[in-house]
Amino acid sequence: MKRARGLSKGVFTVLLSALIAFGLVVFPIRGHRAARGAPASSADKPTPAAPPGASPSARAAAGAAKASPSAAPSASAAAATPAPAKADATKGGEDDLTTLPLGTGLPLGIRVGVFYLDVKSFDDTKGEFVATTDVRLRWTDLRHRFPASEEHRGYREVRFGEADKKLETMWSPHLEIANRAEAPSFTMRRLRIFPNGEVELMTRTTARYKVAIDAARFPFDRQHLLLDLIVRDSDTDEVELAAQHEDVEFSRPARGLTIDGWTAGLVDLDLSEVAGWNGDRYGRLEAALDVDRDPKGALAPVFIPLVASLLIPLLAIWMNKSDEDGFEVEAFELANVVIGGLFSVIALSFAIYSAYGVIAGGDNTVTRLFGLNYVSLASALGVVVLFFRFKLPAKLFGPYVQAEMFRVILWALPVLSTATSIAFILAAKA
Amino acid sequence: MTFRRRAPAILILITTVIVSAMSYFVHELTDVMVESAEASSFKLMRAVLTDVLADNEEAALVRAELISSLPAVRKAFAKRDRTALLDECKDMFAEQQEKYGMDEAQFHLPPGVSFLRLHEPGKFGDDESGARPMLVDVIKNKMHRKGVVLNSRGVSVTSIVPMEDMDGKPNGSFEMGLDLAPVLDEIKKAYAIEASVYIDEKKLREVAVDLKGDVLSEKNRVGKYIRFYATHTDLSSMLIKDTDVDVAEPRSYDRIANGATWGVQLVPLYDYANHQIGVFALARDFSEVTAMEGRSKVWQILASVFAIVLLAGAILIVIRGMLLRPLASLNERMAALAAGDATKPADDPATYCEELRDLAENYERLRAGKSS
Repeated sequence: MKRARGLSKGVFTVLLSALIAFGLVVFPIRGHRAARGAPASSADKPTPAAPPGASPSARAAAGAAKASPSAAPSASAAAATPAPAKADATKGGEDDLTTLPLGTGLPLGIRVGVFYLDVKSFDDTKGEFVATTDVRLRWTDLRHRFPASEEHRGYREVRFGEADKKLETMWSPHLEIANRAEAPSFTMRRLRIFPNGEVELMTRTTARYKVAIDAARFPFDRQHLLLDLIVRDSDTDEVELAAQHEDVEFSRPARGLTIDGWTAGLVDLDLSEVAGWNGDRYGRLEAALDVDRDPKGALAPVFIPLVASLLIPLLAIWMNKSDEDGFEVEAFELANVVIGGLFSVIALSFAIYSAYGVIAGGDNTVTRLFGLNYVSLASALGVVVLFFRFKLPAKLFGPYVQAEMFRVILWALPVLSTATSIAFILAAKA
Repeated sequence: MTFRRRAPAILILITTVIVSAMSYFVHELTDVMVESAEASSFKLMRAVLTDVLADNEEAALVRAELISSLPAVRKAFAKRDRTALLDECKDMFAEQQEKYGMDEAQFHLPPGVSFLRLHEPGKFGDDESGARPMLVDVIKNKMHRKGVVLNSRGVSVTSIVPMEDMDGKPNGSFEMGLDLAPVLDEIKKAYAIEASVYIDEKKLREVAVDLKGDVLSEKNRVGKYIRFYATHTDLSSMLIKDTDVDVAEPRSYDRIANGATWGVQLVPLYDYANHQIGVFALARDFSEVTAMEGRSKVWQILASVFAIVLLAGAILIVIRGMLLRPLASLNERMAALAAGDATKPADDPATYCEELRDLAENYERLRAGKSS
């Protein structure tokens, strides 16, 4: 009996081992789904960030894990540089060049410069611009050091496809351009490595970008053609963006760059941080080319009709004349002029707002002038009804007061209307 | 001039003067407030510069103290063993240079002879005591010194500490210098202040014999100074001109550049011997403040125009509409009555004010007597 039991135990153990081995082969413990790009299962939820006290390697691991969702192709998450093979960043040893370089300590400083080569178009109505830019990233990775005598030019350089291939074999910062509207129509890279381990990655891209438009000072407004660069896969404990003197010098518009209806100014580099989960912070750099609107362009289509329409309510008042019996022209005739003016202002607002969508909402010179138009029309209608139709001032204060009030209105209303228009324009220019 | 014209004219003139005076007062008040806000900003800029420079001097001093106290360093220096000293310090200095912007480190023998430059080991033996009063002071008085100095590589934030041998006897000095560029970059990053430093060209040519790059070039010449470093060269070119930079005491002004108003603060830069060697220029974007000031003035003027127009209108309506025109009307009737024409009755009594109503009633009585 004992022998039979021992045999059955042995057979059971062998079967169990075979079953476990089969399970391990068919269902490996981790990795294969993500590695082959299969859709994420419930177990593939975003990895929580490493705790503040975690070691750099743990943080690097957390950063690498966070990088994986952003590797998915999407227009908004289009990267300035290709996502290098970052999987399991911490597992690589000294020879693994795809891990975060720790040679100069953490956080690793990435110096960023942005050169605006060309701005093909800027549509402030849609809040979009198409530009060709050079984004220059520089960092130090001591693992790439080599004797200076090996390169007569003073650096090693690879371009285009070769650069992309090289980048797959080494660590490089993964910068997301958060305001890019769609995948770039053109991308070209150049990678330089210097003997001291300094790496310079230049990416020339033509793409469409979204920008917020602030038209409060229209037509004297300044807009910012922005590239919003954010490091998503490493927090500021690991990777920090910086802009030094050389980067500021590099960041400028090309000589002779022109944008129809706009004048290009300087490029401003603004460093900040983006809040992440569990107190994480991610480096952010906003490179913005300042452009000033040419106000002459808005003069004929916007301001001349707007100021001209201000004359309509004044005409309704100027057309009448006071006499001993009251007024010469009947109220309904002048009310028609005011109502006609109201419709013309409404039509004008449709025309202007459809052509310049950016000024349709919010507080700006044009909306203020439209407001002034409506107030003038309402005032003129008030004069027509109260003075010409009901003769209310005469009933309350007598005909002499009404006549004098009308005389004052004849000059006061145009003066106030003109002064307010000028004030609106000067306030925008201030 | 008739009362009809004179009375409204005088009242409107007085109204205009009072409203304009009030507007001017408010305008001046706005100016004072804006100037006060700008003065605070300029003060803050100066404080930031002083603070950041002090911090960096302190950082250089701490490093110099630490290294000069290392037994191996003291031993090698006491033995005047340059090779051992270099071996001991070169890795440390390379790391300090790479990570923290430490630009130079140097050991000196009395009275100021360079023994070892860690940033340039091949160059030594020259006597710097003639051009470096701070160095002489440290070696002579055996106490540390710190400050911004002009040296062979340009300008740096430097600290020098006395060295002692193993028995505690003074035997030279050790110096650590921080490049000025990262200091100005730090100011820009932390406080959004554009910073630049201008150095007297003559002194720079005399002392900074190992100056690298194209600093000494025509594009960097601003009056008698050379723009040694700027966080934004284009902007500093627009903001600081030849005529501005030559200052002997702090000076501030506003200037428009790139479509924005910038507040510029100039601070003279003195070396250890209290000789002016250059000027720091700090600039901050004031466009938001000046735009608010401009808008405020526009609204103030508009409010004044409204006040003058409405008050003038009220004066005209009251004087002419309630007094002069009814009076003229009664006068006209009275004249007709005196001429024998009693056919024109006075207006409805409600048309007149209380005082004129009596006159109208008296006219009616006269007219009734005449017609009967």
